[in-house]
Amino acid sequence: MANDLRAARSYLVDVQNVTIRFRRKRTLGAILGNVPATFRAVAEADLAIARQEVVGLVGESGSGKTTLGRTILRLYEPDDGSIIFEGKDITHLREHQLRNVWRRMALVFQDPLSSLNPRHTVHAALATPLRIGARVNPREIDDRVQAALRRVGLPLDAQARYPHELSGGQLQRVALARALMLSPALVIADEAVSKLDVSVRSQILNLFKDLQAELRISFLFVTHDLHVAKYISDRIAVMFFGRIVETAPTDELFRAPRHPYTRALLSTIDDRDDETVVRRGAVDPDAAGCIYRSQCPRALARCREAHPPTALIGPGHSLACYNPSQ
Amino acid sequence: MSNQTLSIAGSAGPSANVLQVDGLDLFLDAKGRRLHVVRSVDLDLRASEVLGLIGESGSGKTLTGLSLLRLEPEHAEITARILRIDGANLLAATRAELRRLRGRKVAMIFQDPVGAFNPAKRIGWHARQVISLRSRRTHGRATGWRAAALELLAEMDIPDGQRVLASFPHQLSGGMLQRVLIALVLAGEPQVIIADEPTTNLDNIVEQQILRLFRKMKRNHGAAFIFITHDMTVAAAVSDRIAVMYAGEIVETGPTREVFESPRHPYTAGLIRTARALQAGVRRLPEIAGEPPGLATPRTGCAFARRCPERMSECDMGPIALARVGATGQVRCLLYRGG
Repeated sequence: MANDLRAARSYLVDVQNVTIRFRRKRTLGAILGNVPATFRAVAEADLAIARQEVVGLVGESGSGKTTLGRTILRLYEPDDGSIIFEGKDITHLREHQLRNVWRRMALVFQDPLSSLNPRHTVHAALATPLRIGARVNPREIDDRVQAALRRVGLPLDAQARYPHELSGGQLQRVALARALMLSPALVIADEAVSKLDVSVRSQILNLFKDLQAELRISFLFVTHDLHVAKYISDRIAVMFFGRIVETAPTDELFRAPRHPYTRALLSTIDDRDDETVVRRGAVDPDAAGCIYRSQCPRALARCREAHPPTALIGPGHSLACYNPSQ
Repeated sequence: MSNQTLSIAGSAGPSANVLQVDGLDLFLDAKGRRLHVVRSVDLDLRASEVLGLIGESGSGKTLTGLSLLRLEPEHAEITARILRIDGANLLAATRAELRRLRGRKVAMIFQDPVGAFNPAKRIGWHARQVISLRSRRTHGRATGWRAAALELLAEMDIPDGQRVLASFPHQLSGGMLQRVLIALVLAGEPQVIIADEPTTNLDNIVEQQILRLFRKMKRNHGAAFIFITHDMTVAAAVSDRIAVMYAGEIVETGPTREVFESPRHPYTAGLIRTARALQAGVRRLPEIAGEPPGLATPRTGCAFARRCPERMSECDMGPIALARVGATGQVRCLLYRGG
């Protein structure tokens, strides 16, 4: 199945059928209540990112979008499935083997303050990847650091500053500059603008857009904000309780969403208030059948039997639903 | 800084206002430095009116909200000419008087509902506390608390109220807990409810449900609301009037529709332009240059001047008063001198 989801062009990242389980805490309640010992954070996920493509990964909190992003970086090892990066299978590489891979990928976090070492100046934060990752000549380091600051729109005197001396927007610029130090092929941005002040957010979103176009890198933009995803992404994948239920080119997804969950999600940012979405009780990710069926107004009898397979329904548009809209 | 009292649209004199704030200042003591965090804020609120208080982090919107319950932090100092809720003077009230006022005349809904509950007690216990308080006030008995609680929960679109009452807070989702909290706050029948970013931590779909509840609550209960948020679209969805705060000051107020359709302050205009562009799906977002000033940043005139596309030399000369615009709006900007 995975193969026919993919067009002929080569992908930078190809996530195939990936499942990730986390072990639960063995509390007394869990043991007595016969709660499964593991929790499935991501189930049978397929996601491919082309070179120079920006993919938005949207979903609610707990949907597994952050876990999937980190799994692509191989901060987690999948329990099932495979991750192909630049044509190479990195699914089960050991840490020392991953070092080469990590030079080609970078992560930008939601909270830049906690992702930067408070005792390191901006210069140190930006120079470290060069020293460790690329063994750059020390004389060259200052030039590269200054170039990186210019690239993200920070003044050169920022390099002597410590993180606590910078504002939220400046910190996120530093985090982005650091992510780009080794010229990665892929940047994963995890809610990278969610904590920023409203009046600063558009500056950083525009910076992401400019740098992506200038450096021709691929982005995976993990966000719960549909407007942000729409603005930045070429394609959007929608996750619900660990499953990618629909992936489509951005315009198409907003114009003609097919999965009932995508429709529900998009109705929340519509001005129309008529499409009432009701969250109907809890979702049991371990129950058989479609993950969305307990919430779904279009559920059929067969939706109770198995989660629908993901099928390609148009160029770059895949869907996991037995009874989609239209 | 002008401290003229704002009279708000169609208010029939001060007696009609359930909340009166005139010239509220709040100072924070930070390592010997006195930071002026809320700057001569005036607010008036009539029964069943919803005011959207918009601002970014550090704008003073949350501290303004906390001041209205006299829950400001210990190292803060409040001064005001008037701070009244339903006739009660909050500036002169003793601790015991304040405790009686909270929950009955004025209540608060926080961003994180978990902190509002005792983790060791079931929801039913919390409901009973609130409802028996109300019964005592009306000299009734609390025997019917369960029925009353179920009714309130049902109104918040919680169908399985029995199960919820028997649950501990940690057993409920964030959205469910926020709904329970709103139900319990309503049970106290306060005149003024201050909701501080009540949907910010919630998922999109749950957020929409809660916002719908707020609209319903406004219709069914007489309470006045202050809805504190950083999100323009959320404010637009629930508010009758908007007040925009920047760096401790209210820079613009007016009826929601008017503010959204013709924002006057360059900061408000910038925020709305960005929110609109993001919704409309433009190729490139309009930006507001620079970043908000820090709390300790000294200022001589308009706090927004550094970032303002309309900056004039007079903007830095001295404090700028709120000026009347339109029928009931006000704006703190020299572009609107003389209305």
